[in-house]
Formats: sequence, C-alpha cells, structure tokens
Amino acid sequence: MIRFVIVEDNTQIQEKIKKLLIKISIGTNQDYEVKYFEKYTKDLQKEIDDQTFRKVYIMDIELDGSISGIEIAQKIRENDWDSEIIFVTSHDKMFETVHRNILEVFDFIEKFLDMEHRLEEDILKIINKKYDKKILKISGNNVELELHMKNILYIVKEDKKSVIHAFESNEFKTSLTLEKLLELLDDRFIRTHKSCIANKDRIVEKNYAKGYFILDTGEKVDLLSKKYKKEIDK
Amino acid sequence: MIKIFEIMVGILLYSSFIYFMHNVTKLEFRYRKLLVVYIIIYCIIYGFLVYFLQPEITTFITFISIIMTYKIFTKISNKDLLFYTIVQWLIGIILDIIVMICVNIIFKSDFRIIGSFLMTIAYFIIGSNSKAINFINKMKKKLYDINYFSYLLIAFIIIYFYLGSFCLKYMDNQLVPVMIFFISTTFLVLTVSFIIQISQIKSLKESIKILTRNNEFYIERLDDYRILKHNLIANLNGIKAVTNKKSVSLIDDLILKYKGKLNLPKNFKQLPTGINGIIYEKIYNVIDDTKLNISINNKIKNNIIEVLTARNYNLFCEALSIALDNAIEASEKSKEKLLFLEILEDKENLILKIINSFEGMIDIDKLGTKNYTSKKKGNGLGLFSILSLKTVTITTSIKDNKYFCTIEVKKINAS
Repeated sequence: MIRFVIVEDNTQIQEKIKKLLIKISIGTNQDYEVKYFEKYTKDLQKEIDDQTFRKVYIMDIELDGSISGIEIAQKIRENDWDSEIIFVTSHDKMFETVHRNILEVFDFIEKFLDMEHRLEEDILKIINKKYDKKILKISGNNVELELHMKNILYIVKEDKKSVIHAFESNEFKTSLTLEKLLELLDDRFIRTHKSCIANKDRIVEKNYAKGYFILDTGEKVDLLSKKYKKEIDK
Repeated sequence: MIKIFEIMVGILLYSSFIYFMHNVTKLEFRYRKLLVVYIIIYCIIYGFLVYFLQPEITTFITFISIIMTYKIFTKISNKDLLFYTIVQWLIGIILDIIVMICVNIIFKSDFRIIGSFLMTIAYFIIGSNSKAINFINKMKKKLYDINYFSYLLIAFIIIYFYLGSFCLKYMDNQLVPVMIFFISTTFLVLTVSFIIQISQIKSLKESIKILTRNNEFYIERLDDYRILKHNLIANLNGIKAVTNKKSVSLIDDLILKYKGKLNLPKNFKQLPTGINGIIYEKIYNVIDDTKLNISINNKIKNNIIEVLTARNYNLFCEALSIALDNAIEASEKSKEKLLFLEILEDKENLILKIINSFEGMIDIDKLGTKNYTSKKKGNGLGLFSILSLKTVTITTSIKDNKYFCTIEVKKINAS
C-alpha cells in the first residue's frame, strides 16, 4: 500500500494527478490511497508525523499561505528520509540542485511541460523501487549516526575498532565489535572473514580460491574465507 | 663404547641446537660448503675432548661453536645473537634440571647419555613448535626496549649461574680459583656499574617526568592560543558585520595581525550586515574556486544584534564560524559539494542549521573530542571548542552521506 499525499492549491492540477493515479493503479495493480492538501495545515503536519505508510509526496513549491513546498519538504525530512518527494511546479527551479540533493527530492517536474507523462514515469519508478527503510543507528560521544542498511557495503575490523564502509568512499569508525554490529544489522549482512562483515545484496562476484569478493561499486575486498562459504552461499 | 655413544649423543644435541636456532631466527645459511667443513671439524674436536678430557669442557666448546656458527654463516646481528643464545641456554638449563631429576627418579642414577638424548628430543620439539617460536620472538621485541647494559647483565647472570654450578661440582679442579677470581672481579665491576646506572636512570626518570609535565602544559597553552586566535577572528568578523566603515578598517587591521591574511570578497562593500555578512564572507572565498552547490536561507526578520545579547552574539559568531569552516571544507572534498544553510528563530532561540555532504573517514566515538580531526590539516580543536560553549547548544548527526549541525542560542526575551 502506497499513500500519495498531494499538496497543490490548483484544483485542475489536483484533478489531473488524481486521474493519473487511477490509471497507474489499474495498470500496475498497486494498492494506494490519496490525501489532498491545498497548503500547510495542522492536518498536513499530522500526516507528515504519521510514518506508518510508505508515502509519496507530490507538491507544488509556491502554495497559498506563508509556508512553501520547499519548507514542507524540510519538515518532512526532519524525521522521515524514506518517503519520496516530487515537486510539480512552475517555479524557476532556483537552487534546484541543492534542494534535490539535500532534501533528497525524487524529481522536479514543470507543470506546463509534459507533466503527466513525466509524473507517470516517476511514479512507476517509485512503485518498482525496492522499499527498504531499515536503518543502522549508532551513538557516538557527540554525534548520532544513521545509515540506511542498503547503503552499507562492508564492515572491517581495524585496530580493535570496526570501520563501516558505506556509499563509495565514506568510512565510519566505531568501537562496537563486529559481533555487536551483526546483532544490529539484518540478515543481508554476513561474515565473509573473521574480520569482515559484508552486505551480500551488494556483492557481485566471489572468489574463494583467491579470497576476495567484488562489490557493485567495483571495489575489491580481500577478505573472503572458505570457512564462511556455506553461510554466504545460502 | 660408552664414550662413543656419548660423542654421538653430543653431536646429536649440537644438531638439535642448530635446528632450534635455525627455526627461531628464520635465517638462511651462507657459505654452505664451508659450513659442512666447519661442522666436521667441530665433531672431531668434540669427539677428541669427550674421549680424552672431561665432558663438562665440551659444553663450553658447543656454546662457543653455536655462537660462531651463527656469526660466521648467517647475517645475524650481535643483539639478536646475544638474545637467541641466552634463550637457548635458559631453555637448556631448565631442560637439564627437569631431565636430570626425571632420570634420577626413574633409573636411580645419573645417566648423562640418556639425559642428553632426552634434551636433544626436547630441543627438536620446541624448535618445531610454531607457538613457542612466536612466543620467543615476541619476547625478543619486548626485550629490545631495554638497553644494552641490561642485556649484558642478563647474559652475565646466566653465565655466572652456570659457572657457579660448575665450580660447586668440581671444587677440587685447578681451574676453579681462576674462575672464582674472574667471577668476583667482573661481578664487582658490574655491581658498581649497575648502581651507577640505577642512579642515572632514577635522575633520568625525574627529568622525563618534569619534561612531560612541561610539554603537556605547553600543548595546553598552544591549544588555548589556537582556540583564542580562531575565536577572536570569528568575533572580530561578527563585530565587523554590525559596525560602521571606520570600525571595519580597524578590525581588518587586527584580523591581518592575527591571521596573517585577509580574504575579502570582491563585492565586500555590498555585503549585508549581521550574520549574513559572516556567511557571505566565508562563502565568497570559496565560491569561485570550488563548484559548491550552496543554498542559504535567512528567515530572521529583525536585526540579529537586537535579538541576541552581546555575549550570545559573540558566542554564536564563534560557533557559526567554526561550523561553517568545517562544513565548507567537508563539502568541497565531496562529490556532491552540497552546502545548505538556514537561519531561523522560534520563540526562545535563534537557530542555525547547516547540512553538508562529505566524504572520507569519521571516527564517531572521537568526533568533537580534543585533538581529533577528520581533516588532513586540522588540529582537532574547532568542534571541541564549540561543544564546550555553555550557552550555545550544538547538535550534530550524520544521516547516510550528509552531516547535520544545528546551533541554537537563547534570544534576549527568552524566559
């Protein structure tokens, strides 16, 4: 079930989106429900706070009232980094890159430039995308670390510390042991070596004879032991 | 017949010593043909001595022979040779005692040949045991921390132990008085040197203690100076942002004095006053060189100097300056190069939010602690100093590949 939250003050656009969602629902057999808002209200804030559903926000940037679509997106991102946000706008797209990346906006679509076709494409992409909001949370002395498990590549033991390798080149050092981290992570994470845990969803090649595995980022990790072969190939 | 057995066992024991040393030192032999000749000569001399003289003298010959074998036929250092010889003799003494006790209990007699044979087997076993070899080499690393004098002292203690037991056993031998004289003289010299060494070590320890204390004091003062200098420049920039032209030039002069350089943006005169001024000054220095994706959103409607007390304004400027420097540097190095800044206020606080992308290693246990830096040229004082500010609240978090920093400071009218 996906909940679409439409924040749009133009009723014609609202209607177009509604028809499009019906069309997609029939085509994909996807269960969905829709909630409409014209501007930022207390009810919209309640909707933002409710994180029980998988959500897709389709919003205009310039809305009635003092709070813009960008500011609503900021409110969403205060606690929710898993819902998708699509802006349907006639805005001049100033600072689009920054907002797109900082607020993790799925797409900016111009209202009067083939809006329906592009919106349909985006929604289909979101429906087909694997919904995975599992997060690893670790507290440091002065910082809280939150990593989506899907973004963690592997974890290695280095000098009595564990180093979490995430994305392409981010590394996070923690005093938690590999055993403790395995407890915090889900079953996609497996031991590949006595000093390595890897995300098996991200492994594309394994070579037990030479003792290495290759990740979907192209990185080669020389920490694959035959001892864990059964568990890895399960 | 017994003498021939004794010679054979003795040669076997010698080969077990060589096997042990070879496995422990992991050194390859050189001049191998010469080594074979050397071993043959050793065997002849050894056989001759055992056959015609007392067998105890052969122990010395074996001892000297092993040292010479390793010195001539491998590339062993003097220190290593000394260490491994000591280890070998220590093991020998212990094994000798154990084997002799066992032989005495079982056979009710002192069968030297059986004893030597059992020792040979024990040496072969220890020499082929990887755990024992690793332990010995670990000990070697630890012993390398002590000085040469202490090394020699250990060596002499072992030699004395052996000579002492020899003298006790053969009290009537003519060599004994000579040995006792040698032991007494060297022991006296060593004792005197040892006492001098101990007193020197004691005074050295005192000096090191004082030096360490002084060093810690200077490091602390240096850290204080760095924090003070950085904060002073941040405060001066903060004052500059709300002051008149004449004061600006005076402050610029001070910044020039403390910082050594002044990075003024080209359109400095057009800069807005207040916090915006500080932000723009920092951003404009990097905006041309690096393609940062920046978004700045100032939602403060009032003049900031009227919203905050003078103290809080200065502290806010310090925190902003450090957090912004960190964010700019981190985002510059990342692929996305994102920098998002927002200043807003609620009823009680003035809030600054900074979000930036980053790449590289972060130790989440050490972040914000003194002297920890994730930068190449950082000194690890920036975040540490702002986290210790009491009236400014700073919260930091990392979500995937974005770093979030929120700075909150109480407003004048806050309860």
